[in-house]
Amino acid sequence: MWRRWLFLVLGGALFTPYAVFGWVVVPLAVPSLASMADVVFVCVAMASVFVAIVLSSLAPVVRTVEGALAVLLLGGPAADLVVARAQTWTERRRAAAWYLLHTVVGALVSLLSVVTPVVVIPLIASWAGGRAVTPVGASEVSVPQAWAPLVALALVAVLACAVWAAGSAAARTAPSLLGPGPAARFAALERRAAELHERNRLATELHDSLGHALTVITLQAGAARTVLHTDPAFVEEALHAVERTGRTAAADLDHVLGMLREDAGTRAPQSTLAELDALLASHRETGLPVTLAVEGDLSRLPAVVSREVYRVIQEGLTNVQRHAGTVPTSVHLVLAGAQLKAEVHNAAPPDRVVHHRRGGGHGLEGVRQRVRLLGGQVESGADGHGWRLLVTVPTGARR
Amino acid sequence: MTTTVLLVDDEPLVRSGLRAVLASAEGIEVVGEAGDGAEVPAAVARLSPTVVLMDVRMPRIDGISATQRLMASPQPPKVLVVTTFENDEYVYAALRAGASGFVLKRAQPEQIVAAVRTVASGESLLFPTAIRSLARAYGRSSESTPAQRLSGREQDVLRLMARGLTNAEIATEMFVGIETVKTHVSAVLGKLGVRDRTQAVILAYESGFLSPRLP
Repeated sequence: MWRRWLFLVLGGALFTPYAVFGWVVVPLAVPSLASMADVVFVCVAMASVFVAIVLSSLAPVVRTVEGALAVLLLGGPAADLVVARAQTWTERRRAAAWYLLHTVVGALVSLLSVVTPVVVIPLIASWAGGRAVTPVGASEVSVPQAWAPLVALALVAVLACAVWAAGSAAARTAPSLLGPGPAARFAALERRAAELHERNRLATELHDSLGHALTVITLQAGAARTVLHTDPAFVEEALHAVERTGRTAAADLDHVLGMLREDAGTRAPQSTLAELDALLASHRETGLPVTLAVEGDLSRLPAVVSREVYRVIQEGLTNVQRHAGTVPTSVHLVLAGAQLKAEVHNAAPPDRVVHHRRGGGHGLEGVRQRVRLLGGQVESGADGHGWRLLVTVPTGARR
Repeated sequence: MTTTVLLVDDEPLVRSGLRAVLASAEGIEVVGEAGDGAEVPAAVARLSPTVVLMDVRMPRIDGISATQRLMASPQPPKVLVVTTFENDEYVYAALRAGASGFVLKRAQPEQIVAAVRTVASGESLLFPTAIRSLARAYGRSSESTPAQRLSGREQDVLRLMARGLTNAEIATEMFVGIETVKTHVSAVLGKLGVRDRTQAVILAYESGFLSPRLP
């Protein structure tokens, strides 16, 4: 209540310079106004005030200031407002309407706040002193002594009601006038839907790949138990398979959870090609023999290219582990002219042909999307000695 | 009599695991492997296995199409679906296509062996509860009404079959001889025009003769 009163009174304070402009500055600038009828004078003054308020409130920063005030002082529905400068004309118009309401209603409440004590205090004083009362500025009205406290109380109640009504109306209106407009809300919804879709996709992928891996592990372990005493060679193979599958699944889990966490909005700085060594080291730890060759100075790449190509290589390596296992792999980056070529190549696994499990295209689909956004190209396929993923992206150096 | 088995799965590690599990079981012999549904018809023609262990989700030709193709042949083997996920629409589709039952790849080795034996004998329904919940989730209602075509006794037998009882258990339950039960079972399968118990029970659920919703 007090905060909302303060909010309204601040509106009144903001109104003061406009009032001075309308009643003092404009008549001084246009002397002929003084000779006109009172009605005309008042109309012109009020119109100037109105125009001045609306024009000044179109400044984008008004939305920021009013938003901050609403969050701080109004609370309630206004507490969740996101304070931001006006970006669009719709937002400016809404903010202007809000500013107009704030200053005008604020001025009225301020006036009431000043008048009430001025009237109430003499009333109480005269009642206490036992005299009949003539409130200030109301010489024709004289209040019988016995009514004085009632009138005083009623005036205070009117002020309280006015503050309460105007304050809660303001708190309710704030989200629609200072909050995001339909376009911004729609964009936010769309962004949210896309994020959810992506998370669902990741969850499904994780469910598939982990379910598959756990099944293989369980089945191989069960089989090994069954033939423990009769077929030691199989047991050894089975243990190898369990180890390999478990390791790959853990790396997969790590990767997908990492992406989910990134998406969760922690907005940790995303890795760039500068961290390529660390990425390769972590893959070597899980058993992937991977080598790196770089031609050109990667540090002069635009950040977006560096980030996205890092993700491409990350996804490429995860795909290698997932589909081919821990086979010799090479990462080759060539930065020449205005083009960056990134290649991930892996040898065919020794025990089986390169082979696509269902759902295997997902990682590559992610790569395609990234590269398309950068205006580049993706080539991938078997090349006789294994599998090759080649990404070519423009670096925007020629501009 | 030895039960011969053909393994069909795109993942070599699943095949080698299943092979080790089944090879150590008495009376079961793994006679071949296939990595894809497309290889199945030729392998079945060459090896004529009693049971085909069939993965459902495979690249190129999946387990559903492969099962359908097998069922179109004159003397098809029994198909036992092996699956990673229990609540899988593909599993139900494979059962509708003519598979006799399914078993989870993560099941204990003993359960996998028992599943092969059950399917080979055709004497009872594998995982009656799971089949009911699959029918509840993915079943479609059909026009046919088996109840009208079956006698009262045959309807009783169909209900007991749906609970997963063997012929001997049904005989005890109904106070009749096992031969009588066998006659009833063949009559039920014949009248419904289905190959085995699984198909009969799926039909019973989908026609509304049995409700998959009741506990």
